[in-house]
Amino acid sequence: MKKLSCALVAAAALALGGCGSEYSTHTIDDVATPAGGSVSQQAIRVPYGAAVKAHIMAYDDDGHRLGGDVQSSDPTVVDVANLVTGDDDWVFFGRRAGHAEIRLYANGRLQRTIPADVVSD
Amino acid sequence: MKPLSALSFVALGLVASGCVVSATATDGPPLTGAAQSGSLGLAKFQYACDSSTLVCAQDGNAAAFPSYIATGARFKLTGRYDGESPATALVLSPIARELVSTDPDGTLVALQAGWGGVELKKRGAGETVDFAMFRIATPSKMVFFSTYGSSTTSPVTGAQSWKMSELGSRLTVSQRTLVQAIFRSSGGESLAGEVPVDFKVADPSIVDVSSLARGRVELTPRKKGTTEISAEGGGIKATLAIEVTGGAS
Repeated sequence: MKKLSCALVAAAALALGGCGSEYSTHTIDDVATPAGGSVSQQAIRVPYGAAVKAHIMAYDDDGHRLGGDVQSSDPTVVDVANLVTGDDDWVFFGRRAGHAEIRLYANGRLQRTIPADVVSD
Repeated sequence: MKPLSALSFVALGLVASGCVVSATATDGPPLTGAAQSGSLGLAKFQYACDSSTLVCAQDGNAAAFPSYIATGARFKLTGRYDGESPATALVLSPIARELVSTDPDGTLVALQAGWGGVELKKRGAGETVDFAMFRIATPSKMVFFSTYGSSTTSPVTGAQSWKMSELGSRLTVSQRTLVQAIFRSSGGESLAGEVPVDFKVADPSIVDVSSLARGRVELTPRKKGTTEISAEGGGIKATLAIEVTGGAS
């Protein structure tokens, strides 16, 4: 009985926030490239025929890193690929002019959607 | 008019102002072509010499990496990534296939004006290594570049082709001249990539024209007089009046 009580207390403590497993935010830093374009929390803009790099990381509410993924709702407009330099480095390709949504995941769950446009100059 | 066999064409990034272009201050072309870092600084890209290359290095790559490509032009790039050992198999492909297409042999074709981005990625895994960016622009002008030989007994050779300048309007009898057509955009940028060009000379008895490798032609003045050389390609036609001086009429 005593062992069971201890286990329940420990489980409750983890569930109430002690383990830091809740998603908090994504941070995004884009990298300037010759063609321009930008990646931010609010919008993604990629020149048609060009690419933009961004460093994207997901954090929990304790400031710990979470496993992240980035996907496009329409890769024929804005495609996204992981860079060889690391799991947090992403490249957005402007495959054709148009609009798509970029979906940011943390620990396998969709956390944020960012509108993305491929623009002709 | 004497039609010449179909030849090619033209352009290079560093030649914007169109004066003298040379690879080095020494007597020949550089051993290796220019290696341009990708936009992310992870890979190196090289541009294979073609008929638009004014200065071709001895390794077969352009001595200067172009920034602009002509619409309709064909060109070849190679990408190298030294970040992993053993070396990873890499694939080059256009970012937007409506702007740049790829032939089965890997030749790239610039289809429309705009950004002509090319990505380099690992074969199979899909991870991107880097990308290179060009501007694709429509040719609006063609200019003639040349290098001069010394006499008819000393023909222009490939080794002399590393130093070129815009072709003047006066030649001397016995002065052989190697000529290359270069396309430029409306903004004055030299445009790289192979675009077929046909050269013609109005009076072959005054100046003879023969075709050489990489889209170049050789002009051989025969006698004093005035004639016109013309070239047509990429939707552009250019002409240049030539006066041959010296020697017998």
